[in-house]
Formats: sequence, structure tokens, C-alpha cells
Amino acid sequence: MPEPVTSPPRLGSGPGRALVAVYAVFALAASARAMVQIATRFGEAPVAYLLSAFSAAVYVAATVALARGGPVARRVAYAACGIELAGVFAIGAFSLADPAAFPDDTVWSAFGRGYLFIPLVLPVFGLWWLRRTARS
Amino acid sequence: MIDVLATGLVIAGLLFAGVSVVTALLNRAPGTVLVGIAAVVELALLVQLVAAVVLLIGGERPAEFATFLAYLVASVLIVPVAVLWAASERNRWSSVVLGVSGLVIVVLVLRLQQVWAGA
Repeated sequence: MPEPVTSPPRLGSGPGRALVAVYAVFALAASARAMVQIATRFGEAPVAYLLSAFSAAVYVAATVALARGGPVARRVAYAACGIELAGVFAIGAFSLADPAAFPDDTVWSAFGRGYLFIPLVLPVFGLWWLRRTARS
Repeated sequence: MIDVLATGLVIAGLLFAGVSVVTALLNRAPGTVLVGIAAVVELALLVQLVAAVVLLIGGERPAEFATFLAYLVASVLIVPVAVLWAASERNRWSSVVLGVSGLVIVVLVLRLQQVWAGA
């Protein structure tokens, strides 16, 4: 498939494919974690577990949107990456300031320390890649 | 669980990730060698799955059973999905995708060991 050399790279192609792969891992990890937490011990830390489920949904949305591409998917991906970045900062700061409110960890606790801080870096890469592949 | 197999898997996963990264740095798509390593890693993961199921049927139970099952199922799905995703657009980034899957396998195997031991 020959493509015009002048146009920006496609969202789901090149580095975007590696980005989708890492996002897929986090979508899987966060979903599985949330399901196990909610199914086995929801009463212990409902706030943390609902946040786990929410972050899982955001990662799934980002993965699908980045893989699909197109104007609508781009908007979804922007929103998902933005929410992620805000979430990892807010939950990160809040979980350190008030550990009692988070008796169990979420993906975003302590700025994603339990996941090698990848949750902190990933949305930055996502937003950067969205800008790089922008049409104008 | 089976410590020897897990140790071998961690080494194989690191090797897989390392060869993937080198392939990506050389600006190449995954070749026969890399896909071969992926196949060996997947085979070892399947052996680990069967071994774990045998132990579970034998009555052994890890502390966090649900978590253990989730890791176990994920461990055999990741490499095939990564290979399919890498094959759908073949360039250096396919190698990066395989490298990511290799590192994920290392983490998964270590976590499986931890959860089995009850850490």
C-alpha cells in the first residue's frame, strides 16, 4: 500500500503500534485487577476498587481508540489520555496524602509506583503521538 | 510452583525481550530467529499452565486464587496476541511490540511465583 510521504504518520501505525501494545497490557492488567478486587473483597476498599474499574475503562477506551484511528477515535484518545494524566496525578497525590483512604492500591496509587511509573509516562507519550499524527 | 521452569521462563523472557530490542535498534522487522524464540517461550508457558493446573487439581491452592488464575490465563495469551499484532504491520515497531510482550512475560512469571508462594 503506497502512502503519500508528506502526510503525517497514521495513528495506529509505526510507533503507534507499540503504544497500542503497551496500552493493551495496561487495559488487561487494570481490568483483571479491578475484576478480582470487586469480585473477592469489594467491601474492604470500595473507593479504591471503583477507581480501579474506572482506570480500567479509561485504558480500554484509549487502547481501542489509538488502534482504530479516525476523527472520532482521536477525540476519544485525547480524552482518555487526558483523564489518565489527571487521574494519575490526582490519585497519586491523594493516595500519598491520605493513605488511609486507599487501604489497597490502584494502578494510579503513588503515581503508578507499583507499575514502574509507566502509568505516569504512558499518557504523555499518548498525547505526544496524537499531536505528531495530527493532520494540520 | 515449578521453580526451575519459572527461572528458565524468566531467562527466556529476558532473552526474547533483549533480541527484540536489538532487532528494533537495527531497524528490522522480527525474523525467523525472533519468532522461533517467541514460539519456545509460548511452549514453556503452556507447560507451566499444564503444570499449574495439575497442581491445582492435586489440591494445592495459592493464597490469592483468583489473581493466580488471571495471571495464568494472561500468561498464555500475551505472546500469540503480540505476534499477531506484530505481524499485521511488519517493521521495526513489530520488534518493539514483541519486546514489550517479553518483558510482560517476565513480570507475569515472577508475579505467578509470588502469588503461588503467598506473598
